[in-house]
Amino acid sequence: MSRNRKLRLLLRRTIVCVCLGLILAALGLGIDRCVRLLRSGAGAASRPASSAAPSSVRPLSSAPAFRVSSAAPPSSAGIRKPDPGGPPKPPGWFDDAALIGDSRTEGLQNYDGLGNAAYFAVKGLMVDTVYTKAAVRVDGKKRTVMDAVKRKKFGKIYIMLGINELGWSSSQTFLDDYAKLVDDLRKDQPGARIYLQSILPVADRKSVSGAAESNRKIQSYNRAIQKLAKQKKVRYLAVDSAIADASGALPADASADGVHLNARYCKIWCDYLKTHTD
Amino acid sequence: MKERIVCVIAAALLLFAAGCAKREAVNADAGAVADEIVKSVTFRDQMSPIAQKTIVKNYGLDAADVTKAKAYESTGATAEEAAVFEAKDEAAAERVKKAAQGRVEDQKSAFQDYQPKEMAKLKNPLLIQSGRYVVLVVADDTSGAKKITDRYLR
Repeated sequence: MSRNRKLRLLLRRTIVCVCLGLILAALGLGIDRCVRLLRSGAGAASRPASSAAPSSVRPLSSAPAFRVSSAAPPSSAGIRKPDPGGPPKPPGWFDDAALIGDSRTEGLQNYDGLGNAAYFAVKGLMVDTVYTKAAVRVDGKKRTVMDAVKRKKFGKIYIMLGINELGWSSSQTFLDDYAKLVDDLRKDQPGARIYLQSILPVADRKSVSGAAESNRKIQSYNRAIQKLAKQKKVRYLAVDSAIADASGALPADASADGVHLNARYCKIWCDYLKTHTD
Repeated sequence: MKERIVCVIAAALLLFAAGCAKREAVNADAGAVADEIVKSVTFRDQMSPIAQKTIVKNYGLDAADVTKAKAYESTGATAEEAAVFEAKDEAAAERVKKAAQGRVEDQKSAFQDYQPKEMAKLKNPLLIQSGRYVVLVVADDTSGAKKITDRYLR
């Protein structure tokens, strides 16, 4: 066999091998793609086509399900008209603000509309456990609310506490502890303006089911908190007036459990704070 | 004859290479996957999306680790939540998964006295890392979320 013939044969064979290899590689990748497509379900796109918020969730047979609040149509039915207040505070107003509260304030933090406010919100927090319950993570370490707050200087401090204390045997103990909290915050944050927010009402279904959580009691606590604010020369914010319905209860569409506010009502709460603080 | 054997070996090697080739990297829209999960899973509470800065704070994340994230939070009446994170790389995704695990532990501490019945959900969350993606779902039944995760992120 001549040298030229040998070279031509080698070239031909190399080309055949490369082609064969490419075909096999393409087949291999194609199968993988087909498997993925089948796994993603017949007729369905392999990736979600849209990032639009869902409109609803399906109910469980054993329990009611709730609509996704982000998609719920806004309605003002049942909301009592509050004092309109002043113009909304400019962006940045809440940047030096601290919000202290329980699980309801935690909800406000989740659906936050107050810029860069700092939240010291803990489930079940009370006017006495602000000193004892180490639940606020600061630099990787859990600290009590009072310990965490004093680590930074604030210009405004908003407090909403009281719903978890309704069952206390003595309302005077609640007020004494609340007064101590205000005094201590004044000491720790001498330049800060302090705002005591009223306790938000609960829904009627919650109110009649538990005497301790009755809205009548909440109203009585709120009158006492207002008096305390006057004594301590701090501001009182009647946030409940923005949230409650005509009967003074939390509207039925404001909450899943009659206590914790959904995103829409947290926005109303935020709007009230923006227009009622000076 | 020798050349024919060489051709067959070469073809077999190419086939092997094609079969073992690195699978195509998953590239999904974390927000759309989170939306799909919230649509498909039954939650007892009302679920609403939260802002990116709140996600970073709630989960104790390093913002630089996360390319995109979407999370839905309940009102606080339950421990229910759903979050999908897209991290900048797999190492970052591992850190995000660890942070999400930390969030579940924090929630356990918060709920054990406050709403003990929520502990069942928190003891059995769906927490999956797949490549650069991390999914966390706390609900009664997370099987629907698992199917969606398998479909889009595996």
